[in-house]
Amino acid sequence: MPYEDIWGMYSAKAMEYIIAVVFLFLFIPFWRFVNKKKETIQHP
Amino acid sequence: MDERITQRTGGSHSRAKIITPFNVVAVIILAIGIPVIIYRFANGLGAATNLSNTNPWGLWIGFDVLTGVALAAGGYVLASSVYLFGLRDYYPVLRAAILTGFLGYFFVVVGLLVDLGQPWRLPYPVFYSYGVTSVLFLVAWHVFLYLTVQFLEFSPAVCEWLGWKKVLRWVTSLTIGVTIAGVVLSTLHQSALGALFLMFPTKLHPLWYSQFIPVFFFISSIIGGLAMVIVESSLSHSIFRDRLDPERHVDLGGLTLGLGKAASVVLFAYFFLKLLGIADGNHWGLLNTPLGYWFLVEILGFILLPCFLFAFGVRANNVGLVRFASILTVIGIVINRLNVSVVALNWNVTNRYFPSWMEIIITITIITIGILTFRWIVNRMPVLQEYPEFRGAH
Repeated sequence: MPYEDIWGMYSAKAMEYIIAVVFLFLFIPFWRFVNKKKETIQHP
Repeated sequence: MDERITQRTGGSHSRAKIITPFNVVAVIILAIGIPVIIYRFANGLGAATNLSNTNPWGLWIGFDVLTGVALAAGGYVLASSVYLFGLRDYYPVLRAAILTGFLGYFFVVVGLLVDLGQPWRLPYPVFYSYGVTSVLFLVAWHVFLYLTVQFLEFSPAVCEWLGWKKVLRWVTSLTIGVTIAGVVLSTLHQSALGALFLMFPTKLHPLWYSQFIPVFFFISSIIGGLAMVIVESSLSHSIFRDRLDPERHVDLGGLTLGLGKAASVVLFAYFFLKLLGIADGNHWGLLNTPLGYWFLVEILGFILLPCFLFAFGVRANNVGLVRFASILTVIGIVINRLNVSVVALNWNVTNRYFPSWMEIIITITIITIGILTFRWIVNRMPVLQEYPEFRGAH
């Protein structure tokens, strides 16, 4: 198997892992964002 | 009994307004659509559609069946939330969601009948000819069973309307079992509809074809169901406000925000799953093609954008923004299912498919009959309100 093909296969797999890790890292701030209600200022 | 039903439904009130803009438009659509349906059955697919051996699936499969099933998912999503996860706050919108799901599936079968022709053969896969190696056999059984399950889920409303207390006790006792069966069947057949496209690795465009397509169909059905419940509950609480229970205040805004929060989280995960689908086939290069741009419109404009709109709307307590995001999401589901079944299917043939006017008018007719049926039921049965004698019975 040519050298480039081996790396081509691994780069595709690496991209899948990167997407999974990026999802997990972004999901935490997204979850916090969605669950934190905007505080409304109440005037007397 | 008839007198009691008339009292409950306010029969004279609903008969007072027969000539309304909606009714006039509906009559015109039916006056054109029903003869066209008869023409289709009398003369066959070739005379009424632009379908061919190259493009055997068109608007009826893409919209009436695939989109209809996805948008009818609100029934199992809400039923499992209320009865299995104990989110009883959502009960006020549950019956309308189940009714939407039931009618959605019923008219999916009607759409399928129009596409298949020969309605007498519809029960074949269930009672006569078992094609156990076919995905379509799986889909046929799922639709048959789930339609039965949804009828059972909605039957308490029918029993309350008719005053059948003994039957009501029996169907109410089935609630948990029927809900579990509904979730199992929905999970299987939403993904089975996606699995149909695993058979077309060379016909479906690589950006839409993925080994994850059954998962895409299932996850997107949850999103479609949530968005459809928001849209439907907003519309029905506005249109049928005289049907609402004056003694029971429903915080529809709060429920909408809760559903919007769930939709934003699922959309977020779905977006990354779609990226995984591209990475799996290493098709990044195809994004820079005309169909690639259209794929980007689908995942950026109708997945990521509504995801953030839902999130901002929920955070800012902006119910209007959540409703707008829901409409965008429903459009996104329609586009996705049409992309998979029409636009990206047979993308490399010269003889591309575009629906005939008769296909379009038949689709509009089926939707109109569905809306009229929904209205007929909501105007009579306890869908948006509870009868006093049955309050707290479920």
